[in-house]
Amino acid sequence: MNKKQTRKMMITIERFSQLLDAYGGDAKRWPLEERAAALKLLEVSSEAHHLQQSALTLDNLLNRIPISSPTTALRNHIIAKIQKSTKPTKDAWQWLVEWLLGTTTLEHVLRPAFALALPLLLGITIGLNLTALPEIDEQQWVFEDEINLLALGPLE
Amino acid sequence: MPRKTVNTSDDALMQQIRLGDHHAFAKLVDRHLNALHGFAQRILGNSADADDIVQETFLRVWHKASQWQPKQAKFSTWLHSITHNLCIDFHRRDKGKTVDITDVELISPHQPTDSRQQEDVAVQVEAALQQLPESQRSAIILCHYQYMSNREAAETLGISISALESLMARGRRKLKKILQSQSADLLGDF
Repeated sequence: MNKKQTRKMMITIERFSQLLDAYGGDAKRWPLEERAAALKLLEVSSEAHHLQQSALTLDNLLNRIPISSPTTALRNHIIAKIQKSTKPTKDAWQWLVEWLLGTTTLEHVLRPAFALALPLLLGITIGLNLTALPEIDEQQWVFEDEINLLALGPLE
Repeated sequence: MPRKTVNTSDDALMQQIRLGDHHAFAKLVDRHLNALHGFAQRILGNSADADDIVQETFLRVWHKASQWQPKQAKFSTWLHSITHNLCIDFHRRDKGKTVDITDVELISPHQPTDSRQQEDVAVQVEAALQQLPESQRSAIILCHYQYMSNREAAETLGISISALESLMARGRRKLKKILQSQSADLLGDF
């Protein structure tokens, strides 16, 4: 273990006391990142041990408060309320975002890609169709011009 | 065909709930009802109000399922924060209904002495907990009873970890003070 790691594993008695003040005497409730250092201090410091015992007294008292479990009737009532309800409600924005981005990781990738590719494909298809229009010969143009001029009537 | 919700994570269940899956919702209720009911009961100090709060919490989960963002927080943290907010609203509506330890009938004459003493202590501690400011009580309940990590508890309350530690330390100090004033025997040499 290098010096940096050793320093990381150390905790002062002041910080240990703060931990007990906040989280109590049970090591399971101490912050994970400081737990190992705090337990190490407990092994060597009688003061730390005394502080922990004092904190455990309050913990034990807190543990004495009884708690009643929820009834099966409550559980069934909650489920029954939902059975009557339809699908969870969504606003228009959420609906649009979900439609565009999907709900799964795969959909998060595929749907936007598809949404971007769709106008591109549409443009290519229209472009190809325009270039593929049958060419009109010159004779037909002249004939159409004459028809148009007749439709306008004689000029005064 | 059996549904694949046996060992499904909370996040996966929420995805199914978003699509209106009642079975996934029932599974989620079964998984979290006990813990959530205990949390509400300890904040409010009674089981009947906790029933209402928990019911409302799960209804919100159903209706607001599309607002759940799995990457932002753990599901249980989100669930606890909904319950916590509902409890705060409940307290605001129901202000003044606090438990006063002097009003509590501590000893029932028909119970054996040991059992009565145990109950006395529990009632005193419960009443002391209810005397704490709501924020201190919630912080202690989340870390002590719900076994939340400091990060999760801080997220639930929408505060920093140092603020959470400060709330818990002040709360525990106040608890000791209240209990010592009630009965010196209770805490021994603090």
